Amino acid sequence: MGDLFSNLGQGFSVAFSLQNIWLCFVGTFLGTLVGALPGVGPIATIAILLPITFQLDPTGALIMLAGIYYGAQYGGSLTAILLNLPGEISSVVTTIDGHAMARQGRAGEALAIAAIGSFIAGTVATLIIAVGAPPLSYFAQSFHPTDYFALMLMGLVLATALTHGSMLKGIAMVLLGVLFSLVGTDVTSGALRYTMGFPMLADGIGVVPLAMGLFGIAEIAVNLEKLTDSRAGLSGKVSHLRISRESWRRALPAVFRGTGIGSVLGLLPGSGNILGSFASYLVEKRLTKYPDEFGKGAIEGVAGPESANNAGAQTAFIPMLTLGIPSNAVTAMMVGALIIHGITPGPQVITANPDLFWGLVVSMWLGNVMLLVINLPLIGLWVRVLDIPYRFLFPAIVLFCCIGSYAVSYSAFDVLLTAFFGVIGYVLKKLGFEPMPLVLAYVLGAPMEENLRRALLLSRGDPITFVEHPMALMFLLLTGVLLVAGLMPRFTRVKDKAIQE
Amino acid sequence: MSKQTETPEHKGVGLRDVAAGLFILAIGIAVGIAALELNFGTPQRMGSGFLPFWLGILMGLVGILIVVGAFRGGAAFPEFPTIRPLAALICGFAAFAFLVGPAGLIIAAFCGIFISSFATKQIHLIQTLIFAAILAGVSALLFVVLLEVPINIWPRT
Repeated sequence: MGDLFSNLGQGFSVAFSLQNIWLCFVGTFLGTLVGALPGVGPIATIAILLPITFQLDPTGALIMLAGIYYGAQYGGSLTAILLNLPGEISSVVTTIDGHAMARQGRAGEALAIAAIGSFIAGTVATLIIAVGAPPLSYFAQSFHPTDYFALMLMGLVLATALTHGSMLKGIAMVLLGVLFSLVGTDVTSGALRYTMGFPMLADGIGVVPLAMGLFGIAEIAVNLEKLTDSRAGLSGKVSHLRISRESWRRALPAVFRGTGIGSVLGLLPGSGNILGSFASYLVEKRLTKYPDEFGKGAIEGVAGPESANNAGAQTAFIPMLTLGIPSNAVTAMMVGALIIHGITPGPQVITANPDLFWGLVVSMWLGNVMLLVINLPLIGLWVRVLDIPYRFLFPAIVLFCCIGSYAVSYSAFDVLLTAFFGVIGYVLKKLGFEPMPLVLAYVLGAPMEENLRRALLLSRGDPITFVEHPMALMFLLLTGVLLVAGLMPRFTRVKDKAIQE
Repeated sequence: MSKQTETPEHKGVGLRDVAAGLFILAIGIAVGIAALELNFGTPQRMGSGFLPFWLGILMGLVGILIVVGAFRGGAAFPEFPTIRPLAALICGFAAFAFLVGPAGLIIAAFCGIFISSFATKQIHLIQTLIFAAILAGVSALLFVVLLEVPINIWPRT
């Protein structure tokens, strides 16, 4: 316990430097600003803002990214509640009761409980990370390459099982992601792979062109196809942010239940925060004394899922920081950013870069405080942002993406690469593919090949090594069960039905 | 997001998934063939072509399975109401990429914004020109002057 406090103390001393507080603030502010733009979800927001963190030192960059992440999440809640536009799957549930509340003129109440619930969830989840991550990373240091390979494989398969749509198409995305990770120079042999004769690809495909193209440009292009009116319909004014006593009584238990559900489900590699918000909504619907209010503006239907979402978003950092395995597109992008800064996420991060780790943990909490003290009072500004006509918005985003992708290494080729991934993302969207597993696999491709290579080298090429290591065997068996269950058409139907409910 | 991906189920062949499967199959074949030029190695000493080869095979298999699955029904072939938005965005990016080195940030940004503005039909030429000019100026101020990103503002002399 004493360790925990001294560790957190170290984190506080890192996060509370004037520079890092400022970075956290700017991150949260920009994240909310871009995340509140209709049609730009949290993942696209982070992809767009990723390059601005590259000029900073690794700790500062990660702190700012965390701020952007929370800001973007809250920006997503804003569009979900006020415009009925979920920016990502996890805020679909928020639209149900949140938007209903907005139409009744209770938008302020919904937004306030979303922020307060997120803050409580964030505080609890931060403590969970601080307590849980060190032992897990200590444990993970004893992992054999075979265990790593099997664990990563399980994470990828889990991600495909939990995303929307058919699992087979999710697996296709994983394979495509591995392909993109192979592009460039092979570390062991020095051979060039899949560079198509472009010398600029010798260093591989950067995370910025990939994520920005797949999520940013593709999203704008699809939105512009559908958008006929220049402005989304804002429903309900945000008059006051007060929460009535009755609402408090109903919302608070939901917040704590949501926090618990989200924290646990967020740990699953591959699921991230999506599962949590759905599970929390279903739980609230079962437990409530006012079942007929659900769907018509029940505050529990906002408080629970929003808390679960934020808790899950945060505990998703545990597998990323301790095992180097991202659990959703956002943590995958952060892994990509860390690698650019020369830090390979994995069990050694806590001991090798304690400042970075504990600084990040504390700044996660700081980001939540920022949300509460800055975002809520500025609500008028965010509402104004929602009202900007799209035809002015998207050229500004395009310009930002151009400069951002260019400034990573001052290469015009990267700008073209971003555009190329925009086309890929557009085609994938049209063909009904979900690009999330692609980004995960893109990040995990290189370490998976490396661990497979090492495992087979140690076993002299004998694949039996995967059966001899009990942990690897367990992960592989679980992967097999997931594959068999997931590939049955019944599973997809049940899952999609649950997601729609 | 889920709202857009929700497409009505059809009884016949799901043409969207046929296309999706063929797309993956084609990439798989290309990946597998290209892998043959790399060193395959042995399982004990995996060469640079070991993983790519199996990746190609797997992609081909998954592609075929997606096509097969489509015969049980699924979404219809996707609609492409207009190619205009994507084309304008890509051209805007290309203009920026080719201009930013030789012509500097302001001209590249101006052209990039102007071209990508054609992504929507509601375009007021004068308004767009003014908007592009303002945004180009602001971006130069913000990125080059304030954030000190080393990009040329004007053409190299």
